[in-house]
Amino acid sequence: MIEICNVTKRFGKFVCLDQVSLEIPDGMVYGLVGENGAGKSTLLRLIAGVYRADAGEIRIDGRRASAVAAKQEVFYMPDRQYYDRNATPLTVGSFYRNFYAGFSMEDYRGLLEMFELEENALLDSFSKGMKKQVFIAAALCTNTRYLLCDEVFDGLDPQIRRVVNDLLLGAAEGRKLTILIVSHYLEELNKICGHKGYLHRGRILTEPEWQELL
Amino acid sequence: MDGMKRFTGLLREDLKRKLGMIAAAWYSMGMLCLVFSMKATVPTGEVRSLYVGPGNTSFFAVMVLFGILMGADAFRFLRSESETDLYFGLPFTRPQLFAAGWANNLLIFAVPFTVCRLLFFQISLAMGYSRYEESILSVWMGCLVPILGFLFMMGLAMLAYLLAQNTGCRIGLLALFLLGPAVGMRLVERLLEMMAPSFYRSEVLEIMKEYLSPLSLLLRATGVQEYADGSCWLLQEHLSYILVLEGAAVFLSVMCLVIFCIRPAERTNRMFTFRSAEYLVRYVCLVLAALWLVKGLQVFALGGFSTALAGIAVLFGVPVLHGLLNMVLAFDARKFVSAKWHLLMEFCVMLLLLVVFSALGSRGGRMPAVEEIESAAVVLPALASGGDREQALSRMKIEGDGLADTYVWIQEVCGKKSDADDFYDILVKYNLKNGRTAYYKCQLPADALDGFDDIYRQEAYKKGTYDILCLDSVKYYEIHWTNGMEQYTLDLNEQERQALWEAYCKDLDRMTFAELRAEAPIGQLTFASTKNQGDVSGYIYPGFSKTLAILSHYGIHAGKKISDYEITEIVVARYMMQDGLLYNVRYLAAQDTVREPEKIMELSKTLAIEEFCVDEQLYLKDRNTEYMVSYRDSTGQTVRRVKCWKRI
Repeated sequence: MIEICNVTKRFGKFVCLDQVSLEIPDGMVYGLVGENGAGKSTLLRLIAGVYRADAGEIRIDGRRASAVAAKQEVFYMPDRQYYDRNATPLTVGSFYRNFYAGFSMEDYRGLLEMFELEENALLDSFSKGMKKQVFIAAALCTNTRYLLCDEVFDGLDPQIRRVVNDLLLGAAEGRKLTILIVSHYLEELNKICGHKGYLHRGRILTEPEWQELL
Repeated sequence: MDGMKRFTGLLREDLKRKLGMIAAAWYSMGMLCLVFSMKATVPTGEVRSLYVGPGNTSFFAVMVLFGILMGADAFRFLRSESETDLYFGLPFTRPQLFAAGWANNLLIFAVPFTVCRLLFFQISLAMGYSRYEESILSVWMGCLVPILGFLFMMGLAMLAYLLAQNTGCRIGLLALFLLGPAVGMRLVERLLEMMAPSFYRSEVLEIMKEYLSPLSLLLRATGVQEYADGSCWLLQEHLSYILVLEGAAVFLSVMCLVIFCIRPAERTNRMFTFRSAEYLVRYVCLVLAALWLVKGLQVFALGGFSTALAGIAVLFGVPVLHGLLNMVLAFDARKFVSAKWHLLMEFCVMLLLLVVFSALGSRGGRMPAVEEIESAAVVLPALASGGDREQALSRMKIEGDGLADTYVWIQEVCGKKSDADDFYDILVKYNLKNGRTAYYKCQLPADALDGFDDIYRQEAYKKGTYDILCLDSVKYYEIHWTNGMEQYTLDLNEQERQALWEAYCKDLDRMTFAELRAEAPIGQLTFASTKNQGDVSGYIYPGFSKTLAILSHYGIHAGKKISDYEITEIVVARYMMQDGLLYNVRYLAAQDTVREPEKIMELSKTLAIEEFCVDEQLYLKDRNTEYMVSYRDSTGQTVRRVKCWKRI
């Protein structure tokens, strides 16, 4: 379970997240929506242990989000993924295999094949959507219990989006993967997310509050 | 997954990212190893083993360069948001991420460095350039000390990288770390000199200059400076510096780790990661620049210290520097007039500093009572024939009755009001009974200079002043003589050399200060070491009868004067001085050539070889006329020229 208790994050004088609280139970696919600059990506980075909260606490399975034991169970897929200039899908897999005990190279190769991605081609030669597919494949094959996805559908064509939806839902149902997705694609989120939250001016609104605001 | 396995994976991935640096390290160190293994680059003599020691300049330069580059490159993933997301999102704590970058950098430098140095040592052993027993310590220290130096430099570069947010700022911060302490202490020294006329040097400041300035500490720990001089590398002379360097390297590494852990991952639009770092840089830069301005403006005080000029420097300098710093720190010209509270604080800090300097200056002017003094050393810098003043101060020990006389004389003449135009500096060092040392600088009026004879005649003074009196043995020396017009190397055995040296010492011991001022040297004896231990020389004066007699016995007419040579012509160049506001300009006003034998004879009797007139400040001479004497050498075949001065 991911527990976010009264988390506040400031950038200088700007309050990005203001005492945000949220609980995401195991196996849930949770979608987070919000306008630009609402703090969606910041919240993901806080959960992933990249940023530190100015106040409040984030716990994953009862452990602090920055603890190694918690981080081992979380895979964070940012909006823009970093990869080495000479990276190929295969080296990306090898990279994550170093750090995640559950990473399955066999499954990873299978997914690459399913996405029809050449495993020895340079990532730089791939389109934006193809690169995304590589990292989605890696994220699913690390076999962590939590998956944090920032704009996971960005750059994917409708057909691949459907495949990705199926894969994510399958993982959530099959191995109780808890997924937190941040996206602007409301329709996609409606398709796969059991619950949704709306970030507005640093706070999470309920659906009626959100509808009222709209 | 096992934590160690994951950490090994992290090390491996980090090493992959640093392949370029690995290649550069192996290439540069391999090339240095090859270059120094070639015979042409290794000179002959007893110091060849030093090339494998820590004092090797090329390896020192490599250490500094790699320290800076690898420190700046250690956490490359902090440069972009996507890289930061990737690395900080991995299942590692920040200390683990730091440890991986730090350890890899150490490996990348230390492994090729050690391997190449040991390989070079093996080659130099095989080729007979070094001897194993006398070089092995140097070799191991040559590996250890540069590795410590590398960690120290890497720590500084890392600190600058972690504290600043952009490349320009990082370079500036590193420059501040490297040069700031030395510049600051130099400024402090200069200001104390200005504010307290009696200030000469402070032991505390000297120690701080050696240990707190990063470059000075590195130079002294490795011994690069001494290596350049060709002396042997001795561990005990460098041990304290090495220990401080080790401590500093550990401290910097721990500090970098702490900052890496608390440093926010997100980038800000400020120049520095932390406000405190920004304040520190602001005040350090302002204080250094303002003190420099205070010191710089004193040039208009013509040698003294003007409180008004210091006030002007603070009053006008601080607001301008404040504005400039605002612009630099915010990278915005519109910020020139902002941060007004800081301006107020900066004024306060500067005024406080000037008050502290003034207090230190007045405290530094207090002389200890004679009962507190164990021994004294006195140096008259105008007596340039006495050699290095620092060496003389450390070597001389005037004690007993001589100490009391010296103390009384210094108390009498220092600061004495006089109508004299010229003043001479006198440097005094008192070794106190409580183990401390006090240094003073006094102004001696020219009309009181004769009184220096009482000090000059003391054995302790001469032993401290003249290097030649301190020779233990002349076994490994050869003796050269010159009178500026001709020169010989004396072919003498050890007993003969000893006899000549003893005669010279007796002559020098008998000489009075009045004689030194009355007569210019007529020659020079040089004891040149055949074991690279440095040459020692001393001037021969007309009254050195014993020395002249021995030299005459060996066929050298050392008493021969300029007028005794066959002079063909003397070119007389007259210069004029034009007074400027800050500097005086000297220009050639007229030039004559004297060829008449009578005039040549008359003039040549008054001339002295310029090369020997090192004590020129102590006697009267015509400073605005130069004489170029053309003469035939002893063979009569060659016409040579020598520059001379005329004594009045």
